[in-house]
Amino acid sequence: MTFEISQIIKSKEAFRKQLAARPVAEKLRVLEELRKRAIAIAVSREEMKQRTAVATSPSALFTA
Amino acid sequence: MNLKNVLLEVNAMAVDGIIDRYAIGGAVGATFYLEPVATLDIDIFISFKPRTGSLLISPEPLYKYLTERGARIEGEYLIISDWPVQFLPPTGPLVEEALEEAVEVNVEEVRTRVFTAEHLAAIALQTGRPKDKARLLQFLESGILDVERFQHVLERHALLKLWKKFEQQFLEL
Repeated sequence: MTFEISQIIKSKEAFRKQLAARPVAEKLRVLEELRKRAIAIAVSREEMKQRTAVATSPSALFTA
Repeated sequence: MNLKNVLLEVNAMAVDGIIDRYAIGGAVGATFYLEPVATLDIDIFISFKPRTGSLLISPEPLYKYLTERGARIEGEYLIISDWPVQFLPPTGPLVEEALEEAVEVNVEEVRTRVFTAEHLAAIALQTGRPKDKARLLQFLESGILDVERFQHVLERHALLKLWKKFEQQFLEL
């Protein structure tokens, strides 16, 4: 482990190359997982936005 | 893998003559060459067989065929095995050429067609959104492009000016 930025960039590049070199089917499976996560993040972001909107709306302040 | 089901459905559509040929583009296409990057949908470029007596091409037979096989329509997308799939006709000579020269690839015994890396990179340059520029940079950094072939694609499709601009913006540090 290092905090040397040039070393960190190098190891990131190496990891990306390693990922790119994996068999196509494996990469497509990773893609499916990434999509599931992206959807989950989008859903929770939307929920958070709605919660914040409710909490800061004037009616919410009066009923609190 | 759900993506494999999508490929099977699209292959069935080609075998049954609904479409002439197809190739995968966009982020999923790029994943055949690069590391996977999160995407929400699949772009499948298709050429239609013209209907007899009609000069217009219509996606209607495609929609009908796939919905009868269980796909559902959501806006611009057809949802197949949980994946939103966008079917796109060639938008110009570059995509037409990309469709023509797409390569065959096997995904777990399923044959499919994908744009070449050079065409994906050229399309990214032409499209020019921030995420396309990021993809083009990924292609360049990966060293996977056949530089001569890429150069020829850029020349044929009058993209050299755009390429110069991209080089100045991102590669000349």
